Amino acid sequence: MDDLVTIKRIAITAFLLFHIVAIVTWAVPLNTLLLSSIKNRVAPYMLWSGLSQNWALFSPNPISIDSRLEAEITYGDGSMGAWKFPLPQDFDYPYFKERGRKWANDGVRMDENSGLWPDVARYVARLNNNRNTPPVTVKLVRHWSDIAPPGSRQPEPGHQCLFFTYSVKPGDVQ
Amino acid sequence: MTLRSHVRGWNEFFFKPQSPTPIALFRIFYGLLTIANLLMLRPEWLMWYGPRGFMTLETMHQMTTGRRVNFFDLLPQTDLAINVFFWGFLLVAICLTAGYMTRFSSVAVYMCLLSIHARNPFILNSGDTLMRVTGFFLMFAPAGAALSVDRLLRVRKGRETAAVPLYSPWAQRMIQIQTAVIYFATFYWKTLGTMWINGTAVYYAFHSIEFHRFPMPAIHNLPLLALLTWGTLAIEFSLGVLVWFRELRYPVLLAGLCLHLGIEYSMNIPLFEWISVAAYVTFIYPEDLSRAWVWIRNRMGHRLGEIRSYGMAWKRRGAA
Repeated sequence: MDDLVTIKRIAITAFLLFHIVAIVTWAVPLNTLLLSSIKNRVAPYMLWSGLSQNWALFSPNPISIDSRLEAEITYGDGSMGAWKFPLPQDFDYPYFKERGRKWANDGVRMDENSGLWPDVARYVARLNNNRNTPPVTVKLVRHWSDIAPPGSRQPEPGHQCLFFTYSVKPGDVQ
Repeated sequence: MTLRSHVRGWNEFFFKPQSPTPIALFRIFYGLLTIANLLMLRPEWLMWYGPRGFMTLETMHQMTTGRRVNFFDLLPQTDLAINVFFWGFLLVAICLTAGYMTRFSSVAVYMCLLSIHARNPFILNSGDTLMRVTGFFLMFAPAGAALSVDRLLRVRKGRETAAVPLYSPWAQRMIQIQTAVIYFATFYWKTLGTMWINGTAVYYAFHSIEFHRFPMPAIHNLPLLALLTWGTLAIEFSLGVLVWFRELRYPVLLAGLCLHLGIEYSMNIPLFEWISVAAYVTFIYPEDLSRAWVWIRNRMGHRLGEIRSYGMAWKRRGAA
């Protein structure tokens, strides 16, 4: 019985040690050769188990721009429409809408997530398929402005950039 | 310090049996937050996870790396199936909160959580990550050993007495360690940025329209905002390091509570503050929790007694 308890305790201790090392090396941004090597080795397990984590919260620096995404829609008859990606500040209950901000500003807006753009354009086309002729083109546009620096109360000028154009296929809007 | 004393210390910390009440209380908070999270997701469930939503399952596979637990891979890609998954997830979250079939429900909740995180990782915030990493260790904890339907059933069947059995707290300790690592890591990340050092970080966080929640007084008071910036660093460091000293634990947790309530008021980051504070429950010494419970019961008993005597006096007056 005692042997069984000891074996169980040793197994749990190994489990604990492994997880403490894995979590610390994964979470703390120290880039030594040893830690990077451990991190690479445990990466598949951390992803699979759900223990992958990043705690760069508002850091190294908080974001210093306000941004939003819009879609410009061109319909078959040449008419135009616009659709704003919903952000929390557009709603009376912003607490429930934060994921929209995360999706648009931290996800779709980023160049490294360009793989999302065709799906997003198709979704926008389906959502805006409410006129006599269906959408034929969806353009995704970034808008942003710097947050006025400390001491300045003047709003900063806005910028915009078209970053993706999608030609809608007939099957996309069904 | 000898090796033997280290081993003894390790064993005492991770394996010395203690009351499971703190981890059971954490289970209840965790379950309630999971339910709240699901209800908040409900109106947009199909937009985030549905086959005709923002991102198809196929794109998700192209955009993410590594093998992940994802029930969506097994589900038919129809609105009905995705909705059934929602209700199933909600059901096991309710079971976990109530402590019914706790081991099963904690594993099921974790698997469902992993699935929605894998299905659309682009909408996750730090609160989601915290739910996930604490949920992992909750699966191993004796979370149904107290304050649960499971315990009630065991007592009724005569398998347990009124005294709650003690358990090794190693899973609870891992939630504590994980929580402390989070605070230390985020403190460390912040020290790498210039704005946290020159005291302007909170200015930018408060002035971001994206995160704005309720009106903030003194939003242009730069000395105060600098103090808040450095105060955040001090509190996060304390929650990572000083929280392990018994004498400092409660003042540090109180400072953390104030920090999170401040963020909850000023910034729109749903549930992160609540799950962070819920994790503090695991840091409360069981004997202090028992003392607090006795105090609450006495106060409640006193209040109930008062209400009862008011009621009786009211009845007597009515009869007269």
